[in-house]
Amino acid sequence: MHAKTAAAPLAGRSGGDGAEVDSSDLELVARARSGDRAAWRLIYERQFDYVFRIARRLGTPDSEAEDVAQEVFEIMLARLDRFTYGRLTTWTFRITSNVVSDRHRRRRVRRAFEKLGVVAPERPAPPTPERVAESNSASRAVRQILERMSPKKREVFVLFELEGLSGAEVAQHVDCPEGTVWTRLHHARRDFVRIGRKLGCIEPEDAP
Amino acid sequence: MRRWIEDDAPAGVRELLDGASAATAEAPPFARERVFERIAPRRRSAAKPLVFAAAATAAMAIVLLRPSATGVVEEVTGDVVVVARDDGTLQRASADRGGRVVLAELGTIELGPETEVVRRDADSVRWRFALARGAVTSDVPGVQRIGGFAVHAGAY
Repeated sequence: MHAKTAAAPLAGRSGGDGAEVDSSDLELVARARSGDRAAWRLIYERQFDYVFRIARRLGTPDSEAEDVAQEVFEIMLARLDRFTYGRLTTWTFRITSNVVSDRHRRRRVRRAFEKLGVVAPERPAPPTPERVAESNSASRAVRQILERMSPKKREVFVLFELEGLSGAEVAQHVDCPEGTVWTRLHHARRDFVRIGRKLGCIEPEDAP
Repeated sequence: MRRWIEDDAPAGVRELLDGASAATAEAPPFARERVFERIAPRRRSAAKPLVFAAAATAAMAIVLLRPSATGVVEEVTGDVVVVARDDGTLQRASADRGGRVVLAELGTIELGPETEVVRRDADSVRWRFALARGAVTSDVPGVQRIGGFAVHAGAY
């Protein structure tokens, strides 16, 4: 069974009733904003695993995960002044999700061009051990399904089913009411199965 | 709410999700340091004229794409490079003092209908970009070698 693997709790979090104001996050960001490189390094250290994991779970191919992480941290660094309240992980999640969605969109655009014959189909890169491993694993199938889901459904599906967050926590991450989370999750599960069956990753309904 | 995959999901879903969850739980070794090096503050070399200033007036450019956007700069000409990403975009980058490519917060060039494939081989793809005259001078700055692959932008 999958374990709850949400980002490790950060020290100094105050408020246990959903206020989720993290004084250590705010202080750290303030220091980083003023040019304190050690503070920036600490932010990076605290957030890296989370960013990397979320990027992959949202459907980023392994070969692109480092690029996504890099893009996320560059955006964070450039926009530190915009983080003024809340939890750093929530902010980080939003940036990561946007970067991943943008890449999914570009990939779809590229495929559309390929179908139109505007660009030649991409040839697969030489099979590295990582690619071979991925092609043999469930993660490739899940990635293909997630890539085809809408961003909002993909987010709640990944946070709830893979990250193991509660409905309230998912609501905070995606900035919507908890009821909306359940609605999106219901549709996301249905889409996951539908797309999975279409791709042949999940057995058809009438299979024995 | 109960976990869907424990009770209600169709056959095969649990295996898929458990497998994916385990496979994506941890970053590969050294990924943390590799990414940090890439986002380290850049040290720009002294300003030099862009090698392909001619691109300002060129209508076309040839760009050699390589499968990955990451790598080590082996030669530096000027202080800016163009990195061709495997998602089909180009991105401007600079080299830090370690010689690694630092993808910048700069713009990308989307592949579009004006893009024409002129050659492909096993390792690389050549694309011909129809560039608006003078519009993308700074986005097509020059020639670099990245990780042994040439990233080549020039006027033809």
